Formats: sequence, C-alpha cells, structure tokens
Amino acid sequence: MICRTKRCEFLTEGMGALPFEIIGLLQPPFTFDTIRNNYPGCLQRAAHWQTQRKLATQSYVANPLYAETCSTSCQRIFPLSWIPRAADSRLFLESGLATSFCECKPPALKRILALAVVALSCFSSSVATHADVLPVDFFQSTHLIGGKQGSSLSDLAKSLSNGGYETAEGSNVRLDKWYAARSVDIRLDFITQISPRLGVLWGFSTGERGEKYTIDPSFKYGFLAVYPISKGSKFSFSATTTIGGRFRERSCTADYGDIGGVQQVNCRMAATEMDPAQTLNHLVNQEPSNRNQVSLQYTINF
Amino acid sequence: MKTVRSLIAASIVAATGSAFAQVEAVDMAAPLFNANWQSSDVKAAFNSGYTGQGTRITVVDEYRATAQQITGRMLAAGLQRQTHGYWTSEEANLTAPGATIVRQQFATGAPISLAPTGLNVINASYGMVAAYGLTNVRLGGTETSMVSYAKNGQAVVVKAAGNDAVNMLTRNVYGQNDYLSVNLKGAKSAIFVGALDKNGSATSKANIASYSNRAGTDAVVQKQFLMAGVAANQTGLAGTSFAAPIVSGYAAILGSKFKTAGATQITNQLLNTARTDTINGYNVAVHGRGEASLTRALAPVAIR
Repeated sequence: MICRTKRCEFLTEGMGALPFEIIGLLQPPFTFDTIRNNYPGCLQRAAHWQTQRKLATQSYVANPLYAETCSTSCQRIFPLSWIPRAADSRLFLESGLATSFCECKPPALKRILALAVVALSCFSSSVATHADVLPVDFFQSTHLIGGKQGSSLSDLAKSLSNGGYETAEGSNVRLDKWYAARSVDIRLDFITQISPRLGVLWGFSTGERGEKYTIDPSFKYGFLAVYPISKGSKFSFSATTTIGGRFRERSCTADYGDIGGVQQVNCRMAATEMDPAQTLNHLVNQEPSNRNQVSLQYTINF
Repeated sequence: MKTVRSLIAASIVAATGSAFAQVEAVDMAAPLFNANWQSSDVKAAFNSGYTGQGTRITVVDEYRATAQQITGRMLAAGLQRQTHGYWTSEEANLTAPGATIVRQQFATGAPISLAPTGLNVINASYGMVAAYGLTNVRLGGTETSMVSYAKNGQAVVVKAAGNDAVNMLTRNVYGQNDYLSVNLKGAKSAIFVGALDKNGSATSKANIASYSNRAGTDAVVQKQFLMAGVAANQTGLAGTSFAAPIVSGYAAILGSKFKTAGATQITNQLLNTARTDTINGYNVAVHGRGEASLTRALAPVAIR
C-alpha cells in the first residue's frame, strides 16, 4: 500500500527524519479547532479524535482508527517502538508535542476490519473510558485463539447421513453418499488486542459441502473486555455474532413411476408415507446454533 | 340363472389357547394396539403419522349382532370378542388409522357408496360361495357394485383369497367355488390376498399359511395375487380374512401419499412392488406376485 504523502499531514517537531512530506507544522499548544482550520483533510480524523477526547475524561484517548491505519500502513513513521504507552500518549497530546494524521487508505479487508474496530470502540467506549487504548500493529496484536475442524452443523450433516431405504425395485439407497462432506468445515478464531483490557474477537469458517447440502462460509466478530476487580480477580465479558454459516439441504429428483411421476423430494423422506411435495418442507435450512454468543466470566487467582 | 345370496364368510382358523376373556369394544379412534402382529412397515407408518388420511376404506363384512362372535387380540389393552366384520375393520383401521373406515354389511343388496374425493378402497374378507361350475351367476347389489368399481378402476378392491388351501378359482373340498373372486378376476383394480404364516423378511422368510388359497396356474390371477403375513400366534386370529385388511390399509396409505393417483395405479403399485425374497421357496403359482411391501410401494423407482 502506498501512503499518499501529500494528504498526510504531519504535525510535530523533533521527530527526526521522516519519509513523508511535512505539509504543516503547528506549534504547541494547539487545539483541534486549529487542526480543523488549518488542515481540512484532517477534519474527519480530528473530529473523531475530539470525540474520543471528550469521552476520555481522565486522559486523551488515541483514535483507534488512527492507530490502525497509521500504525500499520505507515509503519516507517510510527514503528512499534514508537507507539506511546497510555501515559506517553497523554503526555504528547497534552503538551501538543507530537501527533500525526494520515490519510493512508487500507485495502478493503483491512478497511472493514478497521471499521469493525471503530464500531467496536464506539460500542464499548462507555465501558472503556478508563481503558488505555494502544495504537498497535494489527498483525502483531492479533493472535490465533482457536481452530476446529467440523461444527455442530457438520455433525448435523453426519446425522443426516445415517440410514437409507430401498427403491421400489429393491435397490439400496444409502444416505451417506449424499451427506458425506467433500470438504469439512474449518474454523479459525482470532483475537486482536486493541488495549490491555479490550480485544476484538473475530474468525471465519471455510464452509462445507456435500452432494445434498452446503454449509456456507461464515465470519464471526465481537469483542472481549476485561475488568480487573482486584489484584487477583477480574471480570471478562465477551460477545460475538456470526454472519453466514447457514446449513442448506438440497432436494432430490425422484421417479415414482406411474403412480407419482417425477418429483422434487426431500432425499431422506422419498420413501416415507409423506406426500413428496410436503417432504420439501422438511429440508433443513438452519443457522448456526451459536450465532450470537455472550459470555460473562469472573476469574479469581489464588 | 341362479342367484347366490349370503354365503359363507371367510373361515376363521381358531388360535390355540381359547381361554380368552371378553372385553369391551375398542375405541377405534385411539389405537393402542398390540403391534407385534403388524409388519415393521406399518409400525413405521403409524409412528410417522401419515397413515391413510384423505382415503376411505369400506369394509364389507359381517356385522350382525347375531353372527358368530370371535375372540382375539389386536390391541395391547387385551382381548376382544366381536363379529368377523368388526375384526377386519379394526385391522384395516389399525393399519391405516388416518383412513375413514366405513362398515357395510355384506350381501344386503345395497350398493357400496364411494367417497367423492380421495382414494376408495373396498375390503372383502368374504366370499360368495356356491357349487363349482355354475354359469350365469348373478351377484347381489352390494357385490355387483364392488365388481363394477374394480373393473372400472374406481376403487381398489381387496379380496381375501380364501381358506380352502386350493388354487384360486378352483373347486374346494366341498365342490364349491367363490363367485365373487370369479367376477373379480382380471378387474383392473382388484387384488386377491393370500396369507403367509408371518411377516417375512430377507433373513426370516415366511411360508404360505396352511389354509391359504394359492395363486394357481392362471396367469391372470397370478398377476393380481398378493400375500400378507397373518400372525395368528399374536392375535389368535387366522385366515386370509386378516390378510386382506392389511393390503387395504397399505392401499390407503399409498393413497394418502399419492393423492392424484387412481385406484388402478395404486393397485399396480402394490402388485409391482411385492417382494419375493421374503418368501420361502417363492413360486408364482403359489405366491403370485409375492408379499406386499408397503416400504417398497412408497419408495421411488429411482432417485438422484
């Protein structure tokens, strides 16, 4: 990704050699109105930053979007070693020594992730007032926390594969050929830490296919917030939701000969007493059972 | 011309152990039945709840209070003592509980009424017996309507094969013949049903019951001859009279699945899907098309 330098405004002094064009300089102390008035390109960022500042009564809170985009996209400006701790951040902002704005445009995926982080940040801002949000590198702050092959819906497909029946002429029809997975669903779950007390939970699954069913790929997202109660105890709260992952069963084409002709039918129920058309009402079309999850946990160390 | 009037209902072979207690008549709407006499096909159908809805089974039989009372056990609740017609209609009901059961006294002369919609099945667990070799026999109004419906494909007519242990339409030991069967021969929606000694399976094959009439050598009869298991050791009731209501129930269940199918199509489906691998020493001249299989009759010919 190329950082469009002419739209990057660097407001600092004493930061050393920089690869970006310095298009403005504000001497401290400065206000956000100063930024807005002098550097319209930074308007959105500044406004958001200001919002964050208002929310943070005790300290200025760095804009997570700002941290995300600039710390990852413009790493040469802000190497991780530079990323200020909360106290540093407050110091910088209060003294007006250094801050920066960057209009680097992340690729679509990263943009989505960044938006998710912003949304999450807004959602949890009321509870994260005292949290010290760190501008961190996305990849370095992201950890794989779970991986699994199969799911409850994979198990459902497996259960549908049991048994079979005979055709009118006595040939065996085995359901396992229709409900055996060609590729089993694989899920990976990650956490991206955005502060010592807040992380974004996210993950995805590959989906699964059999001849007569499909489990759609899914994307899972949410957050984990940790609240220390005392030195040895803490509450943690997490909430996630999943998009996609639906189980869809497909029908079969059955030939009943003179008595019923050719009809679409639920593969599993073709030989039951049920009207073939009615069996279609029993095709499985099911969301993941754990689509929305909320967890509250109290941990005590002893 | 000779008119054959009320003749002999299908004979009942008494079960061993006759110390049966008499119980009240059963509530037909609540079939807590002794399912051990039924095939696994029927149990599965019953459990699924799709058991003949939208069809009518008219059981033409003996219901008069003065008729012989027979003791048997089809329900888990205990023994019952009732006339032949109440037994056969109860058996049809237990096979296809969703079907409307209509009881009609045989040989009254009253034509059988058909339901205006849905499949009609007529069960005839009796015969119209007279001396063998008569020509120009005239049946009464009830049976005439039954034969007409079978020939026109208006109702599936299921006829008990008879308990004389002879080939169909041949002279029995009394020198008699069943003229209802004679008239139903070749009718496009008529089925003759003989009895097996149990419900057969590929691993536990059944034999023809000792009393049951056989399909015989007439190819026309062979093509419309089925068999069904009669578990007399469970019910205390034996005879092809109790084979026919099973097939009537099967027809009703098929009719509730294939709502647009006519009586002839239902009949052919039952005949074409009969199993021969569940019968010991299957022989078309004995067993006709084989043992009726509800499972196969419900199944598609092919599926993909």
